[in-house]
Amino acid sequence: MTKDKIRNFCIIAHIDHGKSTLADRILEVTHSIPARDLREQTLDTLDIERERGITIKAAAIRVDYKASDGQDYFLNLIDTPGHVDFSYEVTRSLGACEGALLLVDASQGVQAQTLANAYLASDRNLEIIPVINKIDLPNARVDEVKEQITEIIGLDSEGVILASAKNGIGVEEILESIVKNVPPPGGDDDAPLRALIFDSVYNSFRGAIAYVRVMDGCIRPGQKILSMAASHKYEVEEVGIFRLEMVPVKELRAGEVGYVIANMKSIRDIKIGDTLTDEANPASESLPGYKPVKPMVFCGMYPADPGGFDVLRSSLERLSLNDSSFHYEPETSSALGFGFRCGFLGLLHMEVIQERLEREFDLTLVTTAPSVVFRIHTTDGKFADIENPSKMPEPARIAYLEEPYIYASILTPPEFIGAVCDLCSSRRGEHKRTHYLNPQKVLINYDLPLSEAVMDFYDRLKSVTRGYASLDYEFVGFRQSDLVKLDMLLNGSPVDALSCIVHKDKAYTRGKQLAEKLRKIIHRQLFEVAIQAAVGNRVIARETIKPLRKNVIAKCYGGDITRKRKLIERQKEGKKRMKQVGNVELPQEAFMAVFQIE
Amino acid sequence: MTAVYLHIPYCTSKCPYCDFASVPINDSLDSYLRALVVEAEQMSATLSSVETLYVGGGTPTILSPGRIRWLLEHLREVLDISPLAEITLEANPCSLDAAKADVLAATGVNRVSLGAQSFDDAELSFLGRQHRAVDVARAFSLLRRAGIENISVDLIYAIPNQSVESWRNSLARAVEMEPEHVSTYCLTFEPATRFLKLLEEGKIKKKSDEGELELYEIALETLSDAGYEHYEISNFALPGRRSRHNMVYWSNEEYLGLGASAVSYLGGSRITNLRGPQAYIRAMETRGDAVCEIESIPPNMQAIETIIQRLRLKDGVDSDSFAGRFGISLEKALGSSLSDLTGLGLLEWDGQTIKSSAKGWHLANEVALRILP
Repeated sequence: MTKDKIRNFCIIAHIDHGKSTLADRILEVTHSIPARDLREQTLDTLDIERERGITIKAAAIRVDYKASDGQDYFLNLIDTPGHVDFSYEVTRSLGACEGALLLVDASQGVQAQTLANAYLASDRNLEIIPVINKIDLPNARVDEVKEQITEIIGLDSEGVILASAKNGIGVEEILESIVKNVPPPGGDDDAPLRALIFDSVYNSFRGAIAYVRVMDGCIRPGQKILSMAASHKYEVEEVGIFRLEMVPVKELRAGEVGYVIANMKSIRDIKIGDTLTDEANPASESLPGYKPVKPMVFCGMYPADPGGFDVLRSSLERLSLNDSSFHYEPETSSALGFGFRCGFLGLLHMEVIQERLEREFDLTLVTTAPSVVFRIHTTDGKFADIENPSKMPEPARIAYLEEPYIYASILTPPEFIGAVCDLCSSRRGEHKRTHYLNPQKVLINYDLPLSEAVMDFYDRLKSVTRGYASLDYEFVGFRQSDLVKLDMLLNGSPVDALSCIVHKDKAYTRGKQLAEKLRKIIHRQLFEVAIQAAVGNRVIARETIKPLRKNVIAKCYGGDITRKRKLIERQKEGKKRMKQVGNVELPQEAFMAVFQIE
Repeated sequence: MTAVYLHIPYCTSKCPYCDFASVPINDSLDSYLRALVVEAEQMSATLSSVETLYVGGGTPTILSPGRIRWLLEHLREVLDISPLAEITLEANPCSLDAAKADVLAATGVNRVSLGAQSFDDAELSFLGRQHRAVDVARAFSLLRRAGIENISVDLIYAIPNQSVESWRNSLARAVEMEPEHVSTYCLTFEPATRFLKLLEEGKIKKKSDEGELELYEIALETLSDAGYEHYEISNFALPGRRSRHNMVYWSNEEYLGLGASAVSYLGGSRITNLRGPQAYIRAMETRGDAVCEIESIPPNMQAIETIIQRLRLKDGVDSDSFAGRFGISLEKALGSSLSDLTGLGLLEWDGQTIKSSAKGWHLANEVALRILP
């Protein structure tokens, strides 16, 4: 098939605007999947994705489409993740396409990620086809949303397609528009190979598999290739295209989307955004935009039962096979024993991994409060990034500290400007810009410390704007900040897993809140428990838990003995899930308490 | 030593704190009593002479004098009840009259446990009891007049809104009657009771642990001043007047339970009967037994349960009799938990006997938690 019959496109949208449903409908309309195989959200392969209705891993599929001009076309649909945590993967997917369907929910209208994704797509000169989805919902505001698309995003209202992916309305029109408006791929078959890696998966039989878009040249089995950023060399074993399953082909040529299997052991070898080229005849320049993905949010994960360490390790290994942005390394906590420090792109990513571990591997985990990377400049002029508050050096050795900042874009109706600004400034935000996009939408930009954003910022934002505001963010770098390490002590000994790094001005309030929270969470023990919050040697808050003095069954006669023993056996089970810190038993919730404080 | 428990699962009304098997009195009563005697007769072959018989409920005194007489006479026919046996019957102050008191004495009941619960009328009505404080004194003297020389009085403390004064008053009124035995039970909120529901709905308030302990301490002081020995967590007795029947439970020795919901502990198994009286009657009539669950207790668990039960008693566990009974030393059975618990000040170990400390007694569940494997 010639290039002019190929269309590479993706669907971009704010979370929950119906992207995966539209993808399904496209597969259905083009008969790419026998109806009996069509489950809801076919492109999402993980249970959690299906349940939460979010797409985590980008996936791709090629569909055949006979357009109204009588010609047959190949449409490569590249699905993109729909959450801010995964914006880098979105960018990569966009790089593989010439066009994008911009899906906007008819009742919710343009949201922060709609805007962010639209900007990303137009930065890359993608042809954007605006689609208003869910037009058949009772609260659909089609005209208003159409206006937003013109006024806020700056797209022509002529081309807007009205659709309901759920009920199949507008899907043919979308496909026609793709054929008509999205340009066929360019690229030169005879130039040196340049293939963009936009995703990867791990298959236990085949190893790591790279998803690529060939920009120039050709890739075929037997070819010796080179990954330009990672500098790995491979010999191609197989190339192919995406149907519902992977289908091998003889070669992938410029303009095509497909997969490459080349004896790549782990997906760590495959850097998303990297360029594959021919080893013997390499391209002079790699494709633009590659950057290494660094986890920004960290937490400790420990097996609730110390015997679960090996299971946890092998589970993490297996998970990381398919998710190169997830990092983990062993760590030992005096409070929690042996576990792992895990790094994630963001909070959602963390929650998803946690849930997968508990569900797929049947593990009970103790998760410590999430923290961010801090950059510590020591008096000897060096700096180090630490992701674990307990690794903070002696105060005397610290010259100054830096913390990561994000540039937050919040899209809100004007009546919530005050609430949004109050929230941001309470989170140490620095106001950058308030921009009235149209009478209904205001874009507010703040520089925010990432550590404040991981502290349930998104939930609070939703709650102060009654669900109307949406958020997008990007990492903007490290900034010097007046930070201190807040320690929590139980009967005088610090609990490493409960330490956190906070801004100096907030240490007192946080310490007090945390101590109160712990007092409520920790059960009475056989002795008095003193809870202290301390910065350095200075105790800034204290709470006391009085000792347990009574736990006895008043009546124990013939019929009660078995019942009583079972009751106590249940109590014992509960006790096993506790973590022993010194002589104090801590319930697992204590480790999340640091995070959940309002 | 053979101990037999017999359950009468009928009441005039259900008290909001009670989770025992009981139903409103109905015309199944006579079939129930017949089934009881049948069950007793069937089990009699396995029993030696009965040393203690305990008729509990429910409300055994809901039975008419005639039925009480019928039941006890038939039990005597089918069971070999020793002439020296302790025969206890639970009595409710408002359903006890002179005729019943006389029939009890005449049929050989020599110990009555009187459900006084409180001497404060407001507390009694809050507890859903139908009697008033005056009824307790009246019932008590009826029993004495009939010749019952061994009477126990039950009291409940830590009732929501109960004051220290009213508790002192209830204890004083009980002591004034000079019973041989007193049980003081901390009010607990059991599953599927109305009180638990009210508690969860926030309509009643449970006393704090400290509040409960304060009342408990008052009971200890008042009753020991009056000459009662505090021999079990909730029980007090004049010298020689411990409940022989309940001592069997607290020593984890064998007992036979008859009737709906009754539990037996025989040959290392705990056997539970069907809970509902109708189901019990039907099962006895159709298949000849009413067992619904048999739990085999492995020997090591028998030993652990024995320790846990015996630690409810002031006497604790004697190492010689323990080793004699289980063929394993007490120290070995407890393993490292012994030093943990003595270290925590919950147990006292003098090389011969293990006892709960004063602190450990209130924390018996914490002790059990650490003893259980």
